[in-house]
Amino acid sequence: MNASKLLLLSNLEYYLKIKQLFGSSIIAHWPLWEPGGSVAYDISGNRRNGAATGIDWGYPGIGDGHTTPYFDGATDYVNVYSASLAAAFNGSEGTVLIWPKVFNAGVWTDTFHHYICYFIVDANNYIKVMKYNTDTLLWVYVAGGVYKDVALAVTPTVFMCLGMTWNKANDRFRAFYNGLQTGVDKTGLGTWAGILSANQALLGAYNVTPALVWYGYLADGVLLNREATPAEMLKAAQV
Amino acid sequence: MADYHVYFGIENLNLNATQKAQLVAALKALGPAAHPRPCMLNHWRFRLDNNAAIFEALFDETKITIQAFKNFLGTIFGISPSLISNTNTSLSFGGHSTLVVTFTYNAVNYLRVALFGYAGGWPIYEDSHLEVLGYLKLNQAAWEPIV
Repeated sequence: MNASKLLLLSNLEYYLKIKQLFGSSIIAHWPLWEPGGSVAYDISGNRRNGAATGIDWGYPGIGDGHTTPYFDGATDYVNVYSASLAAAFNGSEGTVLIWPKVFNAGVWTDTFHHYICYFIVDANNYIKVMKYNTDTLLWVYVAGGVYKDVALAVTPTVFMCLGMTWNKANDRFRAFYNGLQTGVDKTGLGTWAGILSANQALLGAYNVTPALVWYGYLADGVLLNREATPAEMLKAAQV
Repeated sequence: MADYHVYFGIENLNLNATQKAQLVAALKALGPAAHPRPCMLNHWRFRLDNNAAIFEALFDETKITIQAFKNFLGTIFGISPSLISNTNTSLSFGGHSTLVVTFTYNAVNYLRVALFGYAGGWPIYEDSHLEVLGYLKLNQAAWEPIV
């Protein structure tokens, strides 16, 4: 990409940057910037809207001029399942991008697991990003019962840009923290099978019970149907 | 009368499945019918054994009093609410106070209710929230799945 195009990208609003970076590969983009209401709109053009339960809109965002919602760590979640999303979700190749921020430093040591996003078919096929145990982020890709994960010890109290990519054909799963790959390529992936469960395509919780609820803020959940490159992930982490 | 954005919890002690379902349905109906902030609409979570629940909403305080719960139980049992007694305990889960009320009829405890943050009056949201988080932490194994 030449310098003028890079400059153009840097001046775009963040959601437009995502659109320009990933175009028609975007399955869904939930910016979570709504001022109110119970719908988390998908702005990809695919209308794969989510249903917001319990969250509170309108908190300071990632620096793109928009707001983000607050999740209380107890009863809140966004259910992004739709039949359309389930049909479009690609468990064999894809990308997830999301911006979480913990409510305060205590979340890192509160002994709870807090789910950031979770897309599951069954116990043998799922992806998730979560705060795991104390001071740890965990990215997990499971296909055909083959478990792969990447863990990272961090404790930021500002927004993080978390991403993960998976590609069965290239046999690799990668985790990204603020635009940079963390850990090594995870290889030996299993074969994804099945379509998403209606009760566990979620932002901010493990299920619709809800359990293992996120405690803090979430912004810009993005799903792609292809593996983003490390260069793209770096750009996507810059507001 | 005032509205408070708070949490309360219920634990079934001896209600049968039908009675429990009646109570949960009645509690789910509380709160505003519409509100631009999802946190103000009644929403809930269930314990792993499905025998306890926590509700959060902008509640009309008159709908979540001890008498109101007696009224719910009286309707469920088809008896006068005056026949239902209660014992109260004040506990602290998150640095504030939570009123825990056990409801009894014919010497059988049927229901326990935790009014998170309540200490003679409802608190601000943050206090009720800290109490519910403290409660969940104390009872983590019962509420959170192992992953």
